[in-house]
Amino acid sequence: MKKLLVSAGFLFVLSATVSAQLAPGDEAVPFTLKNVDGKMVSLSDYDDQKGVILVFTCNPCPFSKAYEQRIIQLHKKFAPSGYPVVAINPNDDVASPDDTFEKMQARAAEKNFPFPYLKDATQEIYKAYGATRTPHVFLLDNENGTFRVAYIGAIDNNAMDERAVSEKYVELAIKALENGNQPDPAQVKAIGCTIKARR
Amino acid sequence: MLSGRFTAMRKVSLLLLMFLSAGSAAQNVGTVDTEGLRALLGNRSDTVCVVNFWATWCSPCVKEIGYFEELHRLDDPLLKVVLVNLDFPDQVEQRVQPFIRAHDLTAPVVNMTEMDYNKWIPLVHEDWSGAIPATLIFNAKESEFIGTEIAREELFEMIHTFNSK
Repeated sequence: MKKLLVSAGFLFVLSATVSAQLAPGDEAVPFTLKNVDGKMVSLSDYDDQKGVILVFTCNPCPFSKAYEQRIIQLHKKFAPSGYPVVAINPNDDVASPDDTFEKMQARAAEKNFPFPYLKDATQEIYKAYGATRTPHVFLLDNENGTFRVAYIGAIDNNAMDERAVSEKYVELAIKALENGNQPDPAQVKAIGCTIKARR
Repeated sequence: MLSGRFTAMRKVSLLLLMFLSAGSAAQNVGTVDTEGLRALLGNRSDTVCVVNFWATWCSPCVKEIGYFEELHRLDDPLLKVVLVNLDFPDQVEQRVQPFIRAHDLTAPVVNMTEMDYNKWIPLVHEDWSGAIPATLIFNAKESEFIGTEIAREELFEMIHTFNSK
Protein backbone atom coordinates (compact mmCIF):
# COMPACT_ATOMS: atom_id res chain seq x y z
CA MET A 1 0.00 0.00 0.00
CA LYS A 2 2.75 2.38 0.97
CA LYS A 3 4.60 1.59 -2.25
CA LEU A 4 1.47 2.31 -4.23
CA LEU A 5 1.03 5.67 -2.53
CA VAL A 6 4.61 6.61 -3.24
CA SER A 7 4.36 5.81 -6.93
CA ALA A 8 1.02 7.61 -7.17
CA GLY A 9 2.66 10.67 -5.63
CA PHE A 10 5.51 10.43 -8.09
CA LEU A 11 3.13 10.29 -11.04
CA PHE A 12 1.33 13.31 -9.73
CA VAL A 13 4.57 15.25 -9.52
CA LEU A 14 5.44 14.28 -13.08
CA SER A 15 2.09 15.35 -14.46
CA ALA A 16 2.16 18.56 -12.46
CA THR A 17 5.51 19.59 -13.94
CA VAL A 18 3.92 19.72 -17.36
CA SER A 19 0.94 21.78 -16.22
CA ALA A 20 1.18 25.40 -15.12
CA GLN A 21 0.97 26.78 -11.63
CA LEU A 22 -1.42 25.26 -9.09
CA ALA A 23 -4.51 27.39 -8.66
CA PRO A 24 -6.35 28.30 -5.47
CA GLY A 25 -8.56 25.36 -4.53
CA ASP A 26 -6.14 22.76 -5.96
CA GLU A 27 -4.81 20.00 -3.77
CA ALA A 28 -1.29 20.70 -2.49
CA VAL A 29 1.57 18.54 -3.79
CA PRO A 30 3.12 16.37 -1.04
CA PHE A 31 6.87 16.70 -0.51
CA THR A 32 9.68 15.29 1.56
CA LEU A 33 12.79 17.46 1.48
CA LYS A 34 15.98 17.85 3.48
CA ASN A 35 16.04 20.57 6.10
CA VAL A 36 19.13 22.60 7.03
CA ASP A 37 19.40 20.49 10.23
CA GLY A 38 19.90 17.40 8.05
CA LYS A 39 16.50 15.87 8.85
CA MET A 40 13.80 15.20 6.27
CA VAL A 41 10.61 17.27 6.49
CA SER A 42 7.32 16.26 4.85
CA LEU A 43 4.13 18.16 4.28
CA SER A 44 2.38 15.28 6.07
CA ASP A 45 4.34 16.21 9.24
CA TYR A 46 1.92 19.15 9.42
CA ASP A 47 -1.28 17.12 9.28
CA ASP A 48 -2.20 18.33 12.77
CA GLN A 49 -1.89 22.00 11.77
CA LYS A 50 -4.67 24.19 10.38
CA GLY A 51 -2.47 25.14 7.49
CA VAL A 52 1.04 25.84 6.25
CA ILE A 53 2.57 29.06 4.93
CA LEU A 54 4.76 27.54 2.21
CA VAL A 55 7.35 30.06 1.00
CA PHE A 56 9.70 29.45 -1.91
CA THR A 57 12.66 31.69 -1.16
CA CYS A 58 16.44 31.80 -1.42
CA ASN A 59 19.61 33.38 -0.02
CA PRO A 60 20.86 36.05 -2.44
CA CYS A 61 17.75 37.57 -4.05
CA PRO A 62 17.26 41.15 -2.79
CA PHE A 63 13.51 40.54 -2.51
CA SER A 64 14.06 37.42 -0.42
CA LYS A 65 16.45 39.34 1.81
CA ALA A 66 14.00 42.22 2.13
CA TYR A 67 11.26 39.80 3.18
CA GLU A 68 13.38 37.60 5.49
CA GLN A 69 12.39 39.36 8.68
CA ARG A 70 8.74 39.51 7.63
CA ILE A 71 8.72 35.75 6.94
CA ILE A 72 10.12 35.16 10.45
CA GLN A 73 7.41 37.46 11.83
CA LEU A 74 4.70 35.59 9.92
CA HIS A 75 5.86 32.36 11.55
CA LYS A 76 6.03 33.89 15.02
CA LYS A 77 2.60 35.44 14.61
CA PHE A 78 0.75 32.53 13.03
CA ALA A 79 2.52 29.30 14.09
CA PRO A 80 0.87 29.49 17.54
CA SER A 81 -2.57 29.61 15.89
CA GLY A 82 -1.81 26.69 13.57
CA TYR A 83 -0.20 28.24 10.46
CA PRO A 84 3.58 27.68 10.62
CA VAL A 85 6.00 28.71 7.87
CA VAL A 86 7.85 26.12 5.80
CA ALA A 87 10.52 27.65 3.55
CA ILE A 88 11.80 25.87 0.45
CA ASN A 89 14.87 26.96 -1.51
CA PRO A 90 14.22 25.96 -5.15
CA ASN A 91 17.38 27.36 -6.78
CA ASP A 92 19.96 25.20 -8.50
CA ASP A 93 23.39 25.21 -6.84
CA VAL A 94 25.26 25.65 -10.09
CA ALA A 95 23.04 28.40 -11.50
CA SER A 96 23.03 30.13 -8.11
CA PRO A 97 26.17 29.32 -6.08
CA ASP A 98 24.87 31.29 -3.07
CA ASP A 99 22.11 28.73 -2.63
CA THR A 100 24.11 25.61 -1.81
CA PHE A 101 22.92 23.51 1.13
CA GLU A 102 25.89 24.75 3.19
CA LYS A 103 25.08 28.39 2.45
CA MET A 104 21.43 27.73 3.33
CA GLN A 105 22.59 26.30 6.67
CA ALA A 106 24.72 29.38 7.28
CA ARG A 107 21.85 31.75 6.48
CA ALA A 108 19.36 29.83 8.63
CA ALA A 109 21.82 29.93 11.55
CA GLU A 110 22.70 33.58 11.05
CA LYS A 111 19.06 34.67 10.94
CA ASN A 112 17.97 32.07 13.47
CA PHE A 113 15.12 30.82 11.27
CA PRO A 114 12.39 29.46 13.57
CA PHE A 115 11.01 27.36 10.67
CA PRO A 116 12.46 24.63 8.41
CA TYR A 117 14.45 25.79 5.39
CA LEU A 118 14.32 22.93 2.89
CA LYS A 119 16.33 22.29 -0.25
CA ASP A 120 14.35 21.33 -3.37
CA ALA A 121 17.43 19.52 -4.67
CA THR A 122 15.73 17.86 -7.67
CA GLN A 123 13.68 21.02 -8.41
CA GLU A 124 10.58 18.86 -8.78
CA ILE A 125 8.59 20.49 -6.01
CA TYR A 126 8.75 24.11 -7.12
CA LYS A 127 7.81 22.98 -10.62
CA ALA A 128 4.91 20.93 -9.28
CA TYR A 129 3.61 23.99 -7.43
CA GLY A 130 4.38 26.26 -10.33
CA ALA A 131 6.42 28.67 -8.25
CA THR A 132 8.34 31.13 -10.40
CA ARG A 133 9.66 33.71 -7.95
CA THR A 134 11.60 34.07 -4.75
CA PRO A 135 9.79 34.79 -2.54
CA HIS A 136 6.58 33.09 -3.71
CA VAL A 137 3.95 32.10 -1.14
CA PHE A 138 1.52 29.19 -1.30
CA LEU A 139 -0.81 29.30 1.70
CA LEU A 140 -2.09 25.79 2.29
CA ASP A 141 -5.34 25.15 4.12
CA ASN A 142 -5.82 21.81 5.91
CA GLU A 143 -9.33 20.66 4.99
CA ASN A 144 -9.99 17.54 7.05
CA GLY A 145 -6.56 16.09 6.39
CA THR A 146 -6.14 17.31 2.83
CA PHE A 147 -4.00 20.35 2.15
CA ARG A 148 -5.46 22.67 -0.45
CA VAL A 149 -3.98 25.83 -1.91
CA ALA A 150 -5.86 28.81 -0.49
CA TYR A 151 -3.70 31.73 -1.61
CA ILE A 152 -0.82 32.14 -4.06
CA GLY A 153 1.53 35.04 -4.53
CA ALA A 154 3.09 38.01 -2.80
CA ILE A 155 3.50 38.45 0.96
CA ASP A 156 2.40 42.08 0.85
CA ASN A 157 2.53 45.04 -1.52
CA ASN A 158 5.86 46.66 -0.71
CA ALA A 159 9.03 44.60 -0.82
CA MET A 160 11.47 47.32 0.13
CA ASP A 161 9.68 49.22 2.84
CA GLU A 162 7.56 47.35 5.35
CA ARG A 163 6.23 50.61 6.79
CA ALA A 164 4.75 51.51 3.41
CA VAL A 165 2.78 48.26 3.15
CA SER A 166 -0.96 48.79 2.76
CA GLU A 167 -2.01 45.23 1.83
CA LYS A 168 -0.74 42.30 3.90
CA TYR A 169 -1.98 39.62 1.50
CA VAL A 170 -0.85 36.53 3.45
CA GLU A 171 -2.17 37.81 6.77
CA LEU A 172 -5.48 38.74 5.16
CA ALA A 173 -5.71 35.28 3.60
CA ILE A 174 -5.10 33.55 6.96
CA LYS A 175 -7.69 35.76 8.63
CA ALA A 176 -10.20 34.86 5.90
CA LEU A 177 -9.57 31.14 6.50
CA GLU A 178 -9.91 31.64 10.24
CA ASN A 179 -13.30 33.26 9.63
CA GLY A 180 -14.37 30.36 7.42
CA ASN A 181 -14.05 32.38 4.20
CA GLN A 182 -11.97 31.92 1.08
CA PRO A 183 -9.17 34.49 0.74
CA ASP A 184 -9.91 37.45 -1.48
CA PRO A 185 -7.70 38.12 -3.34
CA ALA A 186 -6.73 34.45 -3.62
CA GLN A 187 -3.90 35.28 -5.98
CA VAL A 188 -1.58 38.29 -6.24
CA LYS A 189 1.38 38.33 -8.60
CA ALA A 190 4.52 37.49 -6.60
CA ILE A 191 7.32 40.01 -7.03
CA GLY A 192 10.90 38.81 -6.78
CA CYS A 193 13.75 37.09 -8.56
CA THR A 194 13.24 34.31 -11.07
CA ILE A 195 13.85 30.80 -9.74
CA LYS A 196 17.16 29.54 -11.10
CA ALA A 197 16.54 26.27 -12.97
CA ARG A 198 19.28 23.76 -13.70
CA ARG A 199 20.84 24.55 -17.06
CA MET B 1 50.63 80.55 -38.48
CA LEU B 2 49.86 81.85 -35.06
CA SER B 3 46.16 81.37 -35.52
CA GLY B 4 46.88 77.84 -36.82
CA ARG B 5 48.74 76.98 -33.65
CA PHE B 6 46.02 78.57 -31.60
CA THR B 7 43.40 76.44 -33.37
CA ALA B 8 45.46 73.33 -32.83
CA MET B 9 45.82 74.15 -29.16
CA ARG B 10 42.11 74.79 -28.91
CA LYS B 11 41.48 71.45 -30.54
CA VAL B 12 43.75 69.71 -28.07
CA SER B 13 42.15 71.37 -25.08
CA LEU B 14 38.72 70.67 -26.45
CA LEU B 15 39.64 67.00 -26.85
CA LEU B 16 41.09 67.00 -23.35
CA LEU B 17 37.92 68.54 -22.01
CA MET B 18 35.76 65.96 -23.79
CA PHE B 19 37.97 63.17 -22.50
CA LEU B 20 37.79 64.46 -18.95
CA SER B 21 34.06 64.96 -19.01
CA ALA B 22 33.48 61.51 -20.51
CA GLY B 23 35.57 60.00 -17.75
CA SER B 24 34.03 61.80 -14.81
CA ALA B 25 30.49 62.90 -15.55
CA ALA B 26 28.42 59.73 -15.31
CA GLN B 27 24.72 60.42 -15.64
CA ASN B 28 22.61 60.81 -12.55
CA VAL B 29 19.93 58.14 -12.26
CA GLY B 30 16.46 59.62 -12.65
CA THR B 31 13.30 58.21 -11.13
CA VAL B 32 10.01 56.95 -12.53
CA ASP B 33 6.75 56.04 -10.79
CA THR B 34 3.51 54.52 -12.11
CA GLU B 35 2.36 57.79 -13.68
CA GLY B 36 5.77 58.44 -15.20
CA LEU B 37 5.81 54.99 -16.73
CA ARG B 38 2.27 55.44 -18.05
CA ALA B 39 3.38 58.68 -19.72
CA LEU B 40 6.51 57.07 -21.16
CA LEU B 41 4.62 54.10 -22.57
CA GLY B 42 1.76 56.27 -23.82
CA ASN B 43 3.99 58.61 -25.79
CA ARG B 44 3.55 56.94 -29.17
CA SER B 45 5.11 58.56 -32.21
CA ASP B 46 7.28 57.72 -35.20
CA THR B 47 10.16 57.27 -32.80
CA VAL B 48 10.87 53.65 -31.92
CA CYS B 49 11.02 53.51 -28.14
CA VAL B 50 12.95 50.69 -26.46
CA VAL B 51 12.24 50.28 -22.73
CA ASN B 52 14.36 47.70 -20.94
CA PHE B 53 13.62 46.59 -17.36
CA TRP B 54 16.72 45.49 -15.45
CA ALA B 55 18.53 45.40 -12.12
CA THR B 56 22.18 45.17 -11.10
CA TRP B 57 21.48 41.89 -9.24
CA CYS B 58 19.97 40.24 -12.34
CA SER B 59 22.85 38.59 -14.20
CA PRO B 60 21.04 37.98 -17.53
CA CYS B 61 20.07 41.68 -17.47
CA VAL B 62 23.66 42.73 -16.93
CA LYS B 63 24.71 40.46 -19.79
CA GLU B 64 22.43 42.17 -22.32
CA ILE B 65 22.55 45.78 -21.11
CA GLY B 66 25.44 46.59 -23.46
CA TYR B 67 23.19 45.90 -26.47
CA PHE B 68 20.78 48.62 -25.34
CA GLU B 69 23.67 51.01 -24.72
CA GLU B 70 24.87 50.23 -28.23
CA LEU B 71 21.42 51.09 -29.62
CA HIS B 72 21.45 54.38 -27.72
CA ARG B 73 24.89 55.25 -29.09
CA LEU B 74 23.63 54.91 -32.67
CA ASP B 75 22.37 58.42 -31.94
CA ASP B 76 19.39 57.84 -34.21
CA PRO B 77 16.81 60.64 -33.79
CA LEU B 78 14.04 58.13 -34.45
CA LEU B 79 15.22 55.73 -31.75
CA LYS B 80 14.87 56.23 -28.01
CA VAL B 81 16.26 53.90 -25.33
CA VAL B 82 15.21 54.03 -21.67
CA LEU B 83 16.65 51.67 -19.04
CA VAL B 84 14.14 51.22 -16.20
CA ASN B 85 16.14 50.06 -13.19
CA LEU B 86 14.45 47.85 -10.59
CA ASP B 87 17.05 47.90 -7.83
CA PHE B 88 15.44 49.12 -4.61
CA PRO B 89 15.55 52.94 -4.52
CA ASP B 90 17.77 52.79 -1.42
CA GLN B 91 20.38 50.92 -3.51
CA VAL B 92 20.79 53.59 -6.21
CA GLU B 93 23.80 55.32 -4.63
CA GLN B 94 25.53 52.13 -3.50
CA ARG B 95 24.93 49.92 -6.50
CA VAL B 96 23.30 51.57 -9.50
CA GLN B 97 25.48 54.69 -9.83
CA PRO B 98 28.72 52.69 -9.55
CA PHE B 99 27.35 50.19 -12.11
CA ILE B 100 26.59 53.04 -14.55
CA ARG B 101 30.13 54.38 -14.15
CA ALA B 102 31.73 50.95 -14.52
CA HIS B 103 29.73 50.15 -17.67
CA ASP B 104 29.89 53.71 -18.97
CA LEU B 105 26.13 53.76 -19.58
CA THR B 106 24.94 56.86 -21.41
CA ALA B 107 21.44 55.57 -22.21
CA PRO B 108 19.07 57.21 -19.71
CA VAL B 109 18.54 55.15 -16.55
CA VAL B 110 15.48 55.71 -14.38
CA ASN B 111 14.89 53.94 -11.08
CA MET B 112 11.38 52.65 -10.36
CA THR B 113 10.12 54.16 -7.11
CA GLU B 114 6.67 52.51 -6.98
CA MET B 115 7.28 49.45 -4.85
CA ASP B 116 3.79 48.02 -5.33
CA TYR B 117 4.84 46.46 -8.62
CA ASN B 118 1.39 45.09 -9.32
CA LYS B 119 0.30 48.70 -9.92
CA TRP B 120 2.53 49.16 -12.95
CA ILE B 121 3.44 45.67 -14.26
CA PRO B 122 0.14 45.41 -16.22
CA LEU B 123 0.89 48.74 -17.93
CA VAL B 124 3.90 47.14 -19.61
CA HIS B 125 2.15 44.00 -20.79
CA GLU B 126 -0.92 42.19 -19.51
CA ASP B 127 0.84 38.80 -19.49
CA TRP B 128 4.08 40.00 -17.92
CA SER B 129 4.96 38.22 -14.69
CA GLY B 130 7.37 40.95 -13.71
CA ALA B 131 10.39 38.72 -14.38
CA ILE B 132 13.46 40.52 -15.67
CA PRO B 133 15.04 41.07 -18.05
CA ALA B 134 12.04 42.29 -20.02
CA THR B 135 11.89 44.69 -22.93
CA LEU B 136 9.11 46.62 -24.59
CA ILE B 137 9.63 48.07 -28.07
CA PHE B 138 6.96 50.33 -29.54
CA ASN B 139 6.12 53.15 -31.89
CA ALA B 140 2.81 54.73 -32.93
CA LYS B 141 1.79 51.69 -34.93
CA GLU B 142 2.69 48.67 -32.86
CA SER B 143 4.47 47.23 -29.89
CA GLU B 144 6.47 44.13 -29.16
CA PHE B 145 7.07 42.70 -25.68
CA ILE B 146 10.01 40.40 -24.91
CA GLY B 147 9.66 38.82 -21.47
CA THR B 148 13.01 37.04 -21.59
CA GLU B 149 16.65 37.59 -22.39
CA ILE B 150 17.33 38.83 -25.88
CA ALA B 151 20.30 38.15 -28.14
CA ARG B 152 22.02 41.15 -29.73
CA GLU B 153 21.17 40.05 -33.28
CA GLU B 154 17.55 39.48 -32.33
CA LEU B 155 17.28 42.94 -30.76
CA PHE B 156 18.88 44.74 -33.71
CA GLU B 157 16.75 42.75 -36.16
CA MET B 158 13.61 43.78 -34.29
CA ILE B 159 14.58 47.46 -34.35
CA HIS B 160 15.30 47.14 -38.03
CA THR B 161 11.85 45.59 -38.62
CA PHE B 162 10.19 48.41 -36.66
CA ASN B 163 12.03 51.03 -38.69
CA SER B 164 11.13 49.49 -42.02
CA LYS B 165 7.41 49.46 -41.32
